[in-house]
Amino acid sequence: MKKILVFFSALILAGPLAFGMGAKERSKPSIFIGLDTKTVTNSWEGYFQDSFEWFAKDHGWKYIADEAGGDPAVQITQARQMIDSGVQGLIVSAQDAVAAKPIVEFAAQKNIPVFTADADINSPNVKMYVGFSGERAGSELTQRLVDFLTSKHNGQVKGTVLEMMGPLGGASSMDRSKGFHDVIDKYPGVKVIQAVGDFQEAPGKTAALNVLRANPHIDACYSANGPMAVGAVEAMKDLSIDPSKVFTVTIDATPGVLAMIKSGDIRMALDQAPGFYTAIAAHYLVEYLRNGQAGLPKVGDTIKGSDLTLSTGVKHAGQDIWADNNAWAPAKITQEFGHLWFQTGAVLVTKDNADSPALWANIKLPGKA
Amino acid sequence: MREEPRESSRGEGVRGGSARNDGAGALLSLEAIEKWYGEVHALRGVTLEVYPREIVGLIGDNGAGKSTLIKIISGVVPRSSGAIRWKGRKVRVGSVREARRLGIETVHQDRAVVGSMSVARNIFLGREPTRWMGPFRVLDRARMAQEAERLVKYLNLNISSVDQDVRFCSGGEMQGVAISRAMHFKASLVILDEPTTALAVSGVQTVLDFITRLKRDGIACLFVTHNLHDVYAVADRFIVMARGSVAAVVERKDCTVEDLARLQVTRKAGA
Amino acid sequence: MTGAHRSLAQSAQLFIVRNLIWAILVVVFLAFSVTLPNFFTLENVHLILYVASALGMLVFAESLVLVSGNMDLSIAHIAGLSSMFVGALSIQWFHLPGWSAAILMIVVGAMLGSVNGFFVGWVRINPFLVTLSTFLMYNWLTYAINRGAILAVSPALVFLGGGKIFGIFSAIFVLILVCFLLGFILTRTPFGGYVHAIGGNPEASFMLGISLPWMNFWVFTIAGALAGLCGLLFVGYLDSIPSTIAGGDDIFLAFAGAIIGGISLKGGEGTMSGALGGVLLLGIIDTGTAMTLINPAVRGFLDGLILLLAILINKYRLELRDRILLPRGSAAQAAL
Repeated sequence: MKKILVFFSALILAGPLAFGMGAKERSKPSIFIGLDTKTVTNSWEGYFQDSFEWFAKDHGWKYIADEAGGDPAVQITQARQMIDSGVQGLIVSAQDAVAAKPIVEFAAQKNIPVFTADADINSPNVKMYVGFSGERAGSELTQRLVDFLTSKHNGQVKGTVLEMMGPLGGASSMDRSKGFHDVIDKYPGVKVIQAVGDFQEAPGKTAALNVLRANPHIDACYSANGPMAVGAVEAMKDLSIDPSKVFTVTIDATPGVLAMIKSGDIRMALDQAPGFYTAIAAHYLVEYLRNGQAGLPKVGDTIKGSDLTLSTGVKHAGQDIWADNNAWAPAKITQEFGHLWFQTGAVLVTKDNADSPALWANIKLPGKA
Repeated sequence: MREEPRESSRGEGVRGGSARNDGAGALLSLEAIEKWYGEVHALRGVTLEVYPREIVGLIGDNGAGKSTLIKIISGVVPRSSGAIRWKGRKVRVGSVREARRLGIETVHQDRAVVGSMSVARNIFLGREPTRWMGPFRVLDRARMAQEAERLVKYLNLNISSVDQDVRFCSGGEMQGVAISRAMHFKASLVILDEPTTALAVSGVQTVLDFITRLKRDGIACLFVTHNLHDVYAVADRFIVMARGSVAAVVERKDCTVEDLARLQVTRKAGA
Repeated sequence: MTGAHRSLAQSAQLFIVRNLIWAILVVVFLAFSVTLPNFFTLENVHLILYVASALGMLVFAESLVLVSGNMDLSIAHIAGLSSMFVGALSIQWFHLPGWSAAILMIVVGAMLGSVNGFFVGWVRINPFLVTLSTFLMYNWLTYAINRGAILAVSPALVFLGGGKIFGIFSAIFVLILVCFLLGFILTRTPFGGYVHAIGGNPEASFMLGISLPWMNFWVFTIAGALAGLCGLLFVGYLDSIPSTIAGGDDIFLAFAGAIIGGISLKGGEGTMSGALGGVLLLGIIDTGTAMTLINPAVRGFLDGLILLLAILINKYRLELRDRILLPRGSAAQAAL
């Protein structure tokens, strides 16, 4: 019995040691940056984090990345830990835009710049946000959905639309839903039925199944994220509703979504480039560390693809993933919540361009069939 | 005038044999059993015999070592040293299964019944009769019910149906269920650990009746208790334990209940 | 004295009370049918059964563990890890036929469960602590293998969870078959009796020669196998293997389904048919409230409220049952 205890104690001690070694860089770096992200449960989020790590590694920077399992409190704790361990700058993708404010305050006290990517924090002390904005994505997609309804009903905007929602109360989820409602609520002839899919396939399918049973005749579907769209389509199939007749749009072209766009089950997706968000944020973070405010763009600027070279020359997953800037360019620099807003463009993915190698979902990422 | 009960002159403990035959023909024979629990010396050289067809009362104050001794005989815990002989042959009672195979059954203090299961299931718990259903081994419920009913009737238990959950039985009836186990599985020696404790008067009488019946059927009993009146009513012989060893052995005809009480209090090994 | 039979009325009463969960289920179903169009249809019943199938495996697993006097927090993540691991193994790292991957998922589930069984049975650590640790380990291991979903699943793999036999989802057959099989084992085999015994009175079981280490080991291993089967059914349900199978709420629903179905948290009591009733009731409530199409937040609240009602009724059921079961005129009944 004692031998077993000794063995297991050794194992338990070895664990943290191994982790500690993995997080550090071998070379003597002078830059140490951290990424504190809200969750990593699907391929988009995975790529988001991987890209940060690859970018830092290629540049020889020391880095650390961690995720908070969707818990805003954990996110704050993680940020503190990273700052305590010596990061010079932090990139945060916030679970809750307001609850994450303490991170910025704490970092500001220590003069550590905080950048945000994908999900912003409502604080003027954030140096810059990089991302598209779920709200704008939602509105853009919904506009096309409305166009479809109009043409289907001969100039009248009416019909039934299924809205797949993320976790009620999540910042991302609320943004994307707001974008949808900003447009669709203008048309009283449209009936909206809601299903909460928690941003995942299985709950998405079950929720859609339940709701569609009462309302099988839908014209269109708006999904706040890719996995839920996949779940909704699966639900339609099980209910013998033909998905190709339903105008389904979603934010994020995950591999599952891309497969369904190619087969015609999903009409279009607005793809944000997870690989670029963290790369751009990291790039500007280091620029700021080296040159201060002068390293950042100004409000009103337009950043074209040719203005920014992110490619490091190193291949990842068999490809130079930062070579094609069309995934995000051109970007507009605006101001929101008292700080800089690097508003990237997004790619509208339809059957026509679904095979483009620039789409991150088409890259043979590790961890994906 | 009664003879003085045999007492130890050196406080080492007494051989618990009957005055009649010294060790010959004993059913169960314990020789110098020692048991250590870590630093605690629970049993110090216990030597005793139990003969066929007799009821032996094992008495002694709390902490005398009675329950430890019982656990060793019934196979629940192993002894530290010493020998156990069964029908003359040296045996190792390493587990409950082994004890049962020898023919030693124990009726535990808490009756060892599972309240949410039926009377029939409880009687056969651990040794269920089975039959084949195709390639599978399933319970032979018909046989269990049949046997259970027979036993319940034989022991005159006031149980209306053997499918009844045991938790609805009174204390005395539960005791009966536990004793039925011993009877069905043809025990040669039944150890009863505090069988009358926590029973109402009517229950006590039922249990004492069971025990007499066991003797009538040729089964020896080791009746462990600190309730002197109960054991005095049925036992042939008494073994008094104190501080981990046998302090005195006395036949019923040679003493009264008061004598036993006195023995229990004044005896201590290592005088 | 012995062999007295209950009156017919008593037997009927007992039957209803023992299976009260089904009575509640029917009542709730009818209540929804009356207030909602499209509820009282064969298609709806079909779909409720379908959606309940994968979760049902978890409810059965948890029920088995609870009856044995233990608890298992890790089964949802056993489902996730076994499906993800076997998926990666059979699709990404090697190319194995679909049916073999299906069997492997169950086997891997059993192995993951046996880790719990080992620590609870032989090392004798409290099951809450053991399964909490494996819960965490298995969850993160799943993400370590893949964060996204595996898409290239073969038809053979997907069949059990998503295919149809004679127009009925095959998952439903699995649900009923497993319920029957487990119920049979629990009530008609010695092993099943021992599961009840170690849950109802572990000391007595030990005294009677039942091996507590082995029993605990097998209970957790079987639970793991059931969890593996759950993962397999989810793969069919989703036509892919995401990393979030059975994540989130599912472990709570597994407990909820078991407890509403009459499984006691203390151990020693419960039936598989009750567990089935529990998971179906959860499904009916979920579907019913979803189909009302009111604000999703209010829906969630309603879910919880109806659940609470069902639990209260079920608690009362136990007292009712005991009242009927007590032999007339016995001391214990007088005491009630």
